[in-house]
Amino acid sequence: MSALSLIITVSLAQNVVLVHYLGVFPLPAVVRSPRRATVMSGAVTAALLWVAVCYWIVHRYVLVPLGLEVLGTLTLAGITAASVLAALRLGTMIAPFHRRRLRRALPAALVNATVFVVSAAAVDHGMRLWEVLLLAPATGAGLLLALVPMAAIRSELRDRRVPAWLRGDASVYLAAAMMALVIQQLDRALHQFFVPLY
Amino acid sequence: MRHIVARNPVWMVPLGLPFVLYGGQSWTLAALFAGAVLLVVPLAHALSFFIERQLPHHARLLPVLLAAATCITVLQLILSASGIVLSDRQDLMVEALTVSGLVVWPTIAAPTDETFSQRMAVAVGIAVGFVAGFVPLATVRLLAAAGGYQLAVSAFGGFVLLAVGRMVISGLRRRRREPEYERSVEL
Repeated sequence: MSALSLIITVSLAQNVVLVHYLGVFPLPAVVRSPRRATVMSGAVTAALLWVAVCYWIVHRYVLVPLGLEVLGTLTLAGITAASVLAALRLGTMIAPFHRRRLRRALPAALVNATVFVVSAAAVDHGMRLWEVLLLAPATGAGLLLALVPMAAIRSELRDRRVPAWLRGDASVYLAAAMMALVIQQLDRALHQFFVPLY
Repeated sequence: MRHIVARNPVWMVPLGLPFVLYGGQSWTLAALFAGAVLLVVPLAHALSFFIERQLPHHARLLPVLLAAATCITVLQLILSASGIVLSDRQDLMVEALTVSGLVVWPTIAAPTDETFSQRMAVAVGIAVGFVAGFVPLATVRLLAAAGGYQLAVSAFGGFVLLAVGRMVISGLRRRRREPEYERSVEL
């Protein structure tokens, strides 16, 4: 797969949130404001880059030579958990006054289906390291593309005089539904040019 | 009971959103995810609880993630030994249960003086609540798809049904003057 087709497939046609349902937990809290959605997308991209590269190295140089591929899920979970601990320690050293906020946000950025599934898919598909390095920002772009408009719609509805039943989570789901419909049509159109990644 | 009704992980606090949307695409997937959640969530917490007690609060994710990954790996081995072959994507989604909010939330939200029975009540409540919320949603989607409305099993259909359900619940809550539980899930 070429670099361009990889970027277009992952960020647009096979969007992680709108096509693969791999939202970041808890989605309604993440899309509370466009700023928060942008920060979270960036944090998940960085987390994905780190976890995917670590897993790729461990899988290639430890699990495959020892014939222990069956332990892939366990290894990936271990890398994720260890990364949370390391990131918390590093974060509290750099920004000690934000310890409480870091303890909430860092697990959300690292422990989510996007980071887990994309890392596992990259390794399962036998991607090379440069492809993994490209996959993470492309996934992050897809995440940004999905989350920021959702957050913008939600905050716009909050400031407008809309019926009470349309506010909150319902508006997030409706925004996601509309965007998923658009992406679905786009995916159908691009399917003949780009092969789905997973 | 609180996690089955008032804080249902499908309709009230969307802990398992990816699995709700993906698992509702076919009867087989719905059965697979309902069974996997019922099995993995309580078992992972039963395995990890006593190790968690020995660790500082911020390190408690480590045993629960490892326990969940072990349960998922064993489940995958059982499925393959039984001759049930999952596609790559199905396999990845089952593996993703390891890091789902369904598994992680009871540990993140746990008070420091929590007992084993309290933890198991939360874990079982979340697992049963997921199935109680997921099965009706999946049934509606699959019946609509069987009736010719194929968009029902797409992401669009899933999000629309979730939105409709959420609107109905918000309306009922407002009428009863109950608090909005979504505010309790904060980052």
